[in-house]
Amino acid sequence: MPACNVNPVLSQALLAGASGQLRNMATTGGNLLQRTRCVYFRDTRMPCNKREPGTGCPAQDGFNRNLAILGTSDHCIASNPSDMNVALAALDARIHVQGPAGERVIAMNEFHVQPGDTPHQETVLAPGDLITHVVLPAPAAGAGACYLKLRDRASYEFALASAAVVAHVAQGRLAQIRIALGGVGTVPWRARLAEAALQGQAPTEQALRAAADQELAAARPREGNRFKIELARRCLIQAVLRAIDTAEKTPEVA
Amino acid sequence: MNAPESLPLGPVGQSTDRIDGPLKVTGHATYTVDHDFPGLVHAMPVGAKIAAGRLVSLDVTAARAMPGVIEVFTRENIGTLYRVAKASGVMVDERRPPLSDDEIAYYGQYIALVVAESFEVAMAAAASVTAQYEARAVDVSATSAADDDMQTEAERGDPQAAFDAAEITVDETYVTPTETHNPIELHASVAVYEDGRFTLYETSQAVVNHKAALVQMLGVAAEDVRVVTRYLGSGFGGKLWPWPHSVLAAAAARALGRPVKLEVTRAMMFHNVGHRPRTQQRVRLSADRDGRLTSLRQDYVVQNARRDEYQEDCGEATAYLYSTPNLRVTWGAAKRDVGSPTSMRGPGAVPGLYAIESAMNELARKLEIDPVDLRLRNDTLHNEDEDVPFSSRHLAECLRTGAERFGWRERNPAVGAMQRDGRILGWGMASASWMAQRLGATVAVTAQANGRIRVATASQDIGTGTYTVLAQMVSRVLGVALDRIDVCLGDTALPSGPLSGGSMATGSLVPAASDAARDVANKLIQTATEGDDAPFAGADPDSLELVDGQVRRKGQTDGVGFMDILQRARLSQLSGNGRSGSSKADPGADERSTKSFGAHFVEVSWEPAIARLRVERVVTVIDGGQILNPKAGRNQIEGAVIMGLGMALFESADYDPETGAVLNSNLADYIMPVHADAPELDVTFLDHPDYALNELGARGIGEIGLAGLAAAITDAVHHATGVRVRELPVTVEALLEAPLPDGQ
Repeated sequence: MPACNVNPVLSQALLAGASGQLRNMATTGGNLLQRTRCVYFRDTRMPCNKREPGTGCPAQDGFNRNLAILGTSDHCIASNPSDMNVALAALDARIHVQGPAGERVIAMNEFHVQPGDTPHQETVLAPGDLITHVVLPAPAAGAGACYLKLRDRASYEFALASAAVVAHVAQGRLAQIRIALGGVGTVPWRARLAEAALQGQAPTEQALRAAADQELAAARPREGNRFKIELARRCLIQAVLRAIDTAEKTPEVA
Repeated sequence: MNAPESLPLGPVGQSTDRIDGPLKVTGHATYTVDHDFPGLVHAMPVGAKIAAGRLVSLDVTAARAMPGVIEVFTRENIGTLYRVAKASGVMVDERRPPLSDDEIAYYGQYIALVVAESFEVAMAAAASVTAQYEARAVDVSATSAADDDMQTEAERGDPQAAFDAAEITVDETYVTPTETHNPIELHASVAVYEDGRFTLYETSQAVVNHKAALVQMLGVAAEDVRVVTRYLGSGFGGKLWPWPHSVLAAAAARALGRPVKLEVTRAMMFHNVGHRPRTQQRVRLSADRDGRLTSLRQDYVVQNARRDEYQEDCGEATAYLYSTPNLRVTWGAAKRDVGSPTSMRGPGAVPGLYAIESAMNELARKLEIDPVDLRLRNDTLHNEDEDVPFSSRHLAECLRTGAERFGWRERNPAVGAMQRDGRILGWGMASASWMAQRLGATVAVTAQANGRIRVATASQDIGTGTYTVLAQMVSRVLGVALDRIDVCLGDTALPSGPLSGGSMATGSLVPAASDAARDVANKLIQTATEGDDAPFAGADPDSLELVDGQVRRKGQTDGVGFMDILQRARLSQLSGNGRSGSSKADPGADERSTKSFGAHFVEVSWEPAIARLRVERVVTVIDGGQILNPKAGRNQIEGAVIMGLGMALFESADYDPETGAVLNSNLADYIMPVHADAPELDVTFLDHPDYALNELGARGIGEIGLAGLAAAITDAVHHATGVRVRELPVTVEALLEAPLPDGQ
């Protein structure tokens, strides 16, 4: 069975990403390592702790509407721009890496590292490592999924906020719920607090709002991206509702 | 005005494919950077990394040492580049020649030019140049109080008294941000210097002016400069006047004796080649209970560059659009450490009408009068600013036709009251207007013995269809099919032609092209009567006519083709010339006002649960005189509407307060509409010919499709969301303030 039927959240995320031309050229390994869209990182005339450690982070009080509110530090607020990574985070993907000491497997949610005071270190990869493949665990039978991406224009743009959700409802309660957020984190943001709040609960709007609020309570916005708290909240809630909606319609797959 | 002659329109007015279309879609059209020559080298400017101050020193050692680097030009070795004299009437927005002193007035200002054997080496070497500066504090702030006293641009009656006495008033301030043109084709120059003469392949909307400017800047004789722009990957006003890279390329070619290609980077497109400046406009309206305007005031401040004098004339359409006895328009400039602004599609009127039409929509809501009705109540056929009648004004018909096509009567004006497929709908509308004027032009039409007709003028086709409409104009007079007509444009070696800007090129070329075609027709008739071998030897030329490319006796159907006439007379060709002047010099020009009008109707959809707003459909009706090629015309208006959508919802160039650099100087971060954002478009041309400017009744179109659209969109946004945005663009940040229905 084609992967897109097994993991609609991944195929939806890939379709939402970039342009057709870029998608045809891009690789999974490259997308895992996609660099931030922070303008100070991209413009080599500017200071940037990620590009040149110790030079400073003008993004903190500068042009930051597309940057992170979760997992930030005083040294860096760059957001991870990938759509695919968000889906892989929700799917608990495993990254297979071949290094000088042999092969190892890295859990997706341990692959990227938050900036802290070393924003130039973005992943746990070491020199000499090569990503060989990515393995996706089969989702629970009957689970629904959704990748919802919110952005200014309709296409060709990075997420202001996105959410990847895999949800399985049994007897009216969320038997399994996995949520990852994009556009708001310095890394693909697995929303464990929201998941914990929803696990075993009926997916009422009230429960969803509370779960989103719990996840976003740790947000540390800057002036230009304060709106992302509310946008991410709406995104998370709607993505869960849509995932559940597809679960009810999708026949169980082996 | 009546049609001045009875010759039928023929191919004019017919939807016609671009005659240059096949060349473009097969990649054979030679755009500026497609020009290549033996020995050609590549130039890349180095930009300053401060926006205000003085260049103290430059270190070009590393650049010079790079293999493949030919020369690094700085102030020391570029030679003298001269200023363009204001008194000459030649246009340039950035007057200071590049590398002429050490002052830095905006971020990215060129401080050196690297020339190398390859583009890659030029890029690398340019990046290796370092500089020391004495920096001044940068001011790129948005706060827009005018630097000096406001100047009055238009005035009648006593608007203050009328406003104070009025029951219903609107007093709001509207802001438009800095916008950049960003056509797909980057600005570029390919300069060839040979035997003391320059041939400059440029990205220009006005090759004649470009040549005149470069003659002055290079300090050479007019006959030693030729400027060529065969095809342009769009300009939108950004390519009207020369920018500093052009003279740098020419100077480098002269110094090195090798052809030089210089294509600016996308980041430079945001700093070095003009932009639409930020505007801040206070609009005050007052009206009586019936919705008649008792006063209208617009006080606007435009951002400007330190050294330059560009004026964004936001009052362009204000003083004549509606009837009101009391009016005042004032303006001022706020100078900042930014590059020179320049004309961007619909300069002045586009930001101006955003403000005026937004205020009209706010007034309609206060009056509880339908906004279409409000415009109709204030319509006038008299230009009250100039106190002359309009030559042809059909704004009311635009409004009524648009409302009908859109289904406006179904509108429920309550905020959030209209829905479809679970989405809230918002409807908004606005009027549009744009100037109409004819510029001087000369055209040569040549009948050739090979059976083809050649049409030549220096004017350029900037992607709008000038090649095609010129062929249509000549085909109408000579009766020769379009596929036997070759149009040659964009070359100062051809007869002088007007700039392509202000939606003026087409209407300007009509008289000269038609006269040139008639001139060659008369010469063909004369030739057909002269000499023993002539087909109508001895006939009175007045008894002959030229129809369908053939000379014949009047009233008869058999004739002799122009190719036979030329061949029998052993002529290779026969040329006719046409010339026309500016419409300002026409008899009666000061007794009428020529303007174009239009109306936009917009539907947006709003999904509050995910804060998603989309423009769903736009209905536009344009009163632009006779449309010469409806297919190309519709393409113009549709493109302008998409551009207006970008203005309303996406576009803003953001300056870094620390460095003065534009931070989002790339096409990922400077957001513009993509295909997926394009709404359903419905364009109607009223096609009322206006013979004030030319015999075809054409006024010109393009820019008017952008005018007013942003106000229609923001009013639709308000209708859907309840959020009134008065500072463009409408962002998701603003929309998140809209209430969520059902306690979401």
